[in-house]
Amino acid sequence: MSLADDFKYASSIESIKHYICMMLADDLYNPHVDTMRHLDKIINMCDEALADIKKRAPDIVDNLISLYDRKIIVSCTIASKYGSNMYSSGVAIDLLAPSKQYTMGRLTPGATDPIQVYYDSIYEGLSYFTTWQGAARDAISIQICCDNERVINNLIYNLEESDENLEKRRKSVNKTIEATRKLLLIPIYLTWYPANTTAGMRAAKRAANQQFDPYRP
Amino acid sequence: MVIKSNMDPNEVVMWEIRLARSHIMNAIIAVDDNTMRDNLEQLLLHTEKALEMQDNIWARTLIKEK
Repeated sequence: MSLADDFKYASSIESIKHYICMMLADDLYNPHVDTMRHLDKIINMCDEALADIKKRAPDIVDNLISLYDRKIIVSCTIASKYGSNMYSSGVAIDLLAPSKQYTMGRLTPGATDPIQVYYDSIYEGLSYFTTWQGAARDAISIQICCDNERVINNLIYNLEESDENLEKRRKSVNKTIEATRKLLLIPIYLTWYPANTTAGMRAAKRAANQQFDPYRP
Repeated sequence: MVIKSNMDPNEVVMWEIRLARSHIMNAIIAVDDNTMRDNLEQLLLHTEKALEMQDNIWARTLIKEK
């Protein structure tokens, strides 16, 4: 078993556990007790798997846990008209070591700029949406939440910075949003939320419900 | 079924579990080791069971509403 395998596995397990814990911590969700039993089992199995890797490669697990404990989580959520997430992508960024980034379920090496990661997240969300068959396709809202004010400030105020690649990326995302809008003939709202992750997600969903007005131009 | 202004909480939970399932499936694709894959498949199994459970509960809720 290689170190790379351990790393991929540990980051996947940690993100799966984190995802389910986040869902259970949000009072919008109230799974039935029988469903909870299975979700609890998943969390226990994740803990066992992490303990197992920790025996072999303690540094990997400790780094991941401290990363999640710092709660520097950013996420891009596309909410449906009816209040449920259709797509949610999350990225954990260690601001002290920006090269360490983990998307939900997989590692993305090389991306060191939080803004680029955000845009990647939107990209992924939009491409997921365009291939998704069961959605009520009246409107989508891209809600971006972050629990770190510094990241949000960077995102909002530094978008005009002269970095050529960043500018290209920004234009490209805007083009994708525009293309999706034309393709699906739906309004798309882009909103930034500076808030901690759970509260931000909740606020995003509430705002999505308020924003989704089919008659809005 | 009449779509309400807000989705049924049971359905919302199902969506979230489906997303968790997609995270696990991504992880299964990402790992090369067989033991790791087996463990992840066990996680997937529990996710499927949770989904099935929640689906049954939601179906019962809909029947009651009718």
